[in-house]
Amino acid sequence: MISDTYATSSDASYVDDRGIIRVTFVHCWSIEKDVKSRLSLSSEISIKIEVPSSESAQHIASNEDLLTELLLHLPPKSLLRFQTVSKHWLSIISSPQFRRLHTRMNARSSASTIGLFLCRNPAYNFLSLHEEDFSTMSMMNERFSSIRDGKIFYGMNSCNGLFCLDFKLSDGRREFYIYNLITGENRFIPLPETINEPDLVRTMNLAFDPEKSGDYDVVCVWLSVSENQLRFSVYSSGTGNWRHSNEYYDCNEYGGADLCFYYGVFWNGAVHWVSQTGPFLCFEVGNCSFRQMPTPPIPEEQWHRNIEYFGECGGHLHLIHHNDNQSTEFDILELEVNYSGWFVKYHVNLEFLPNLHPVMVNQETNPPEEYAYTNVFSMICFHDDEKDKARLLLSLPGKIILYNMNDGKIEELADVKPASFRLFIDGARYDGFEMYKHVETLARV
Amino acid sequence: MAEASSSITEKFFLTLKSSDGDEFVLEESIAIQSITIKNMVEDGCSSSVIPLSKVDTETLIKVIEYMKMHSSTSSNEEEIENFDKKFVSNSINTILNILEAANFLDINNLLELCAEAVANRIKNKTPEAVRKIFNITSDFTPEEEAEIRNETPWAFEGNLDHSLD
Repeated sequence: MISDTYATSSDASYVDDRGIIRVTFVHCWSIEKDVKSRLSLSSEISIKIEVPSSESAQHIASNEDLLTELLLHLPPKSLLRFQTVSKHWLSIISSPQFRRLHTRMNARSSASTIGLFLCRNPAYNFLSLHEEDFSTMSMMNERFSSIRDGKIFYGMNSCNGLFCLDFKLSDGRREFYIYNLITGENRFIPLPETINEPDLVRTMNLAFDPEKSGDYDVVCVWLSVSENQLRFSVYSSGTGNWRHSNEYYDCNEYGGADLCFYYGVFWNGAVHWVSQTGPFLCFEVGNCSFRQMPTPPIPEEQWHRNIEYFGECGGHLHLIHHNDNQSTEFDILELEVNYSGWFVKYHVNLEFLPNLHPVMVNQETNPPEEYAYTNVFSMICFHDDEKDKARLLLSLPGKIILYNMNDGKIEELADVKPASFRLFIDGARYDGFEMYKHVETLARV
Repeated sequence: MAEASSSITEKFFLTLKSSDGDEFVLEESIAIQSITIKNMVEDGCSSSVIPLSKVDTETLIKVIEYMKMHSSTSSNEEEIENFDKKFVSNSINTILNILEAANFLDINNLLELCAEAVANRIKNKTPEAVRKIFNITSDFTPEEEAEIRNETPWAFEGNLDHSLD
């Protein structure tokens, strides 16, 4: 009787599996109220009424500004999915203005870090910081491989969600691409026209600050073989052109064979490179100038600094060098914002760790000097967010753990299989130079 | 004593009228968190009842609760945080109603809170569920939709949420 009277006009009424009559009215707020009140008087049957769409929902969906405001709060992956909602949603989400605004608004959101790439040439693994992303990442890995297309994967670096991929062709030439893993878009970056055989590209470094601009720069550090000088060139995505710095680094004069060898860290408008033996360098992208930056001394009786981690977090530059390989103590250094020097941000003592994880005690009976440490561990990543949650990601033989420095809690994150081409026990261990943060972004390449 | 009485006389009250015709009396200092109401007060339109023809009673009650909590000097940060947490646990349709009201009333914090809450609620949903919530009919052909899906298949992977709340 109820359905005869009130629900026949709606073709969306049905009896669900618990025998509850569900009446689905499409955006009829007032009718629903009406029905509710009448039914409660005339019926003893339990009635649940679903109203899937409120009038407000419709108003919001048809109000361009309000819908944009709502969409700006969604993560990139959801937005890519919601492009299929309607042509209207597609037009908003895919517009360059929206993507730029979204990228800027989400630039400093730590929640957007979805994981870390652990890259050991030629393989890479993905360590997800959100469990549910694993399946997605395997698909993205496939995509990663498709851009590789038979070329030899030579290295990569990442900056605020974009990747710079470095490939080696069979004839020895290098090819570079900027890649957005989440949108799947890529751009081929030509070599600076000033590079001629037999000059060598040292690094191709991404410099992308979504808070400042939707465009990015690529800093190419290359070795002029005839002059034995490091030269700097900057590619701007906005113009598609290279600019060349007048300044150079004279390798004859200063030495430092590993200068700009590792990928640099972009922070504060400049790319920064550390070196095990030489000075640390920093290159200001805007005015194409480079200078030396504060460099911790090389410990006495050692020929190099043992730098384990160098990275940016929460607007600060951090450095971990672990020089005494018999010790489980080390400092986490932070650079003063005015570049006046490094200071000790945290002192870390991990002497409790070998008891918890005996696997890290070095089992090698006769290791060469280089591997003669008491405990086998390395720092992959340091995370220090605004709420003072300092966390350190550590790689032990066979596993990756997260050490919460505030409460001392240890969390096991992943198992690591030994890489076949590395000898000794630390083959199943990564270091900080093999780690790339993955942040989801809608930034255009 | 004199101080106390003067602070009482300084309080001004406004009457807000919902689209259902219900009237609510509210301290002016609380109500002017809404820029729309503030502008009306400044333009001298607040002497009589302020009609809010776009906000129903149920929504207006929620908005007033929010404004009271966020203006009260006695509520501390933790209280406000707990209030907001509970506030956004309302049904998605309720939050959408409040979102629309916050936009009309121009209460930026509330708009942000609701936009964030709706985004959290729908971020793992299927496009079909989103269409139902917003009563949108797809205007894509199946081929067009498949083409967009194939550009980023990973965005459609994983445990997606089909529910409408």
